[in-house]
Amino acid sequence: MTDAALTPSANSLRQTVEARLKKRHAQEMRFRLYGRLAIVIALSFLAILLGRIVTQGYSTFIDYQITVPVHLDASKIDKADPTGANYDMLVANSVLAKLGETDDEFGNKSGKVLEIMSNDLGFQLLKMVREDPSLIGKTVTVTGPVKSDAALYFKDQIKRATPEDERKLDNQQLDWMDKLKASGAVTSGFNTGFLTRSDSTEPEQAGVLGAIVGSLMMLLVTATLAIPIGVLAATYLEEFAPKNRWTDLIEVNINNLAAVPSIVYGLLGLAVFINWMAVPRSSPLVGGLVLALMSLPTVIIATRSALKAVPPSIREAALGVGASRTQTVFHHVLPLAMPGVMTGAILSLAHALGETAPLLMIGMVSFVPGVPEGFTGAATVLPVQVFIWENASERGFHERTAAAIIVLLVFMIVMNLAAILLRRRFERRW
Amino acid sequence: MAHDTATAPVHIAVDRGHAALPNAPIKIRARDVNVFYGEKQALFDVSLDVPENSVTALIGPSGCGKSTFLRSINRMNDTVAGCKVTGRIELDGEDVNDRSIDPVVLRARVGMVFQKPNPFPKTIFENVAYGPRIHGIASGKAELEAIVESSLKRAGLWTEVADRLHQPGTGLSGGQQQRLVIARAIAVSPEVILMDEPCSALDPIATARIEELIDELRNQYCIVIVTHSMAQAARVSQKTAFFHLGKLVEAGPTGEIFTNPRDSRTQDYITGRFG
Repeated sequence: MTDAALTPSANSLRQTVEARLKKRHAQEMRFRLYGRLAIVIALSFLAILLGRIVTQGYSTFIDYQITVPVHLDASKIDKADPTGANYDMLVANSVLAKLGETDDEFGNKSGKVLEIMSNDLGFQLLKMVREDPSLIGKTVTVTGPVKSDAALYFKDQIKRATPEDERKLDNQQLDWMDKLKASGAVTSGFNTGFLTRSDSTEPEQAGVLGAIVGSLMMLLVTATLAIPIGVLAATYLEEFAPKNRWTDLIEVNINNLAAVPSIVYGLLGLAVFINWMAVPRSSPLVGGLVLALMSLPTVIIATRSALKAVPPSIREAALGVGASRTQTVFHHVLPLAMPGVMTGAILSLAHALGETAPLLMIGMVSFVPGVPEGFTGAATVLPVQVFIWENASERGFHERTAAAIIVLLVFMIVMNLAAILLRRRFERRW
Repeated sequence: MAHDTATAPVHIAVDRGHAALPNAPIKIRARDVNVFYGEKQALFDVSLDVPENSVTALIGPSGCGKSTFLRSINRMNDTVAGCKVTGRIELDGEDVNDRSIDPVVLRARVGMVFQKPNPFPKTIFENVAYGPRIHGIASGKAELEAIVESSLKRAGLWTEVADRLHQPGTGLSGGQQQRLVIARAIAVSPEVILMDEPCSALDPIATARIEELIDELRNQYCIVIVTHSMAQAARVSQKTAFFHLGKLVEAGPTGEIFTNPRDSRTQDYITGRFG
């Protein structure tokens, strides 16, 4: 009787459990599906972003150089003052000669040639003559970039199919360029100039060297300030400071500072470093100071959590053999926390590398056509260079904007790799 | 008069302890020790004498205050925020809580071994050499090596690790790690070694080795051991103190505590009726 009563109830219990089991499995499947969907969406956005930047920017790394023999006509260059001569016109006439054309009396044709030749060729001639005045009267060969509009035609971004009055170059200029290319005077190659030159008003002469050097100098200032101060502050707060209302207040404030919009740090830097301490504006020093302020909370938070993750048994072990608190922290706890500290520090530096807004507040958004002359000289940095070029009207700057973003991303990837490698190295040591 | 009733049996027990260990001088003398963690009182008027060159076991159910008492002896409780200790704990007649006593020096004199083996994530050599190095005990490399060797020998670990001194100490087995930690404590030539449940994370074979070691070390050091294992207390200790709810219920020669306890609570605990 009892058996008969038990068996059906046991069966029904199993049925209830199984019915619920299906629901439970379905729930898990659903959650996994959402997770996969989220990953797919995130990856496709990343692919779109990278794809767009690369397709827009890769053409910057190809450039078109023209090589022409130029006769340095002694009648047109004053030996006493070689700077006064119109070298661009000499280049234009040489190119016209190469094309088998002669200039008309109004200089219309040479003017049109100058629209497709970079004035860099003229600068090169001037430099040659200055260094060696004996060249006057002789024929020299110069190689330099074509104007960015001409390069865009070669890159098929300015198309002949477009009606003539809607494009920057007319049919005659396009014909000339085809002819120059066919004759071998114009050659294409890797654009080393983009990496070895600094900003310029002419897109074909603009490069990112000044911005790269500016960024590195600024990061050096940021790193030397933010990392030691941040790590030591975190160590004091975590290991030495008494735990009371005041330290709680400080902790809350540090966490809040990490969330303060970066442009506010720019305002602070403007008020404190530039207006009050008279640090030269637009310099790597002031930029580094501002970014150091901005990075400090992140470094402190990362260090504190790395210190918290060190097991208390290590502290007890060190204290137990009679180490002082300072010895305990600096011999054992901090070295063990180092991988976490380094990762946090490098990630906050990578963040600082990409920061633009606070730098706009301290005057870094300026045209700097060279490498900074030291930590107090005028400088520009990569993200600001991107910002400046994005605002430029010439079409040639558009591809350069994307190319500068590629350079910036390469730097980010290098820094993140460094973070991973450092972490691995330190972890192996322990 | 609550004070008297709490401590009265203790004094009697201590007296009986003296009768059983007549020649042992007192190394640690605790009187009316109270420990507070913030508002909560963890120890109530504990008075206990710990004899030299012997093993004293502190037993009692979880949360009874035996570890708290142990940690008061080398002032490890200093590191706990909000912890306050009153009363007197004397080491060779000196109050360890006196202003003139530096906890760093105290902890060199009173070594400690913890529940979970906690070697530094460094080499075996560095683990043992760390104490002598920070205290400046060894005057040269050769002397330091000699200290490391003799400490490892006394901890019964030398033959097992002699050929791999420069490999990480964390790569040893649990029992070996615990002996390494004992070697680390010995290396600074302490007078007292405190052990907080040193075998609770070890298997029976490793436990037996540690117990043998404790028995050997007793000749040179004063050892205080906290243990949850009644059998262990009976095996290794000469004196046993039973704690319950933050009070010292009874203390005396181990044989007497286990065969003829005076307090019914002790009787109940050692016979397994609670704990």
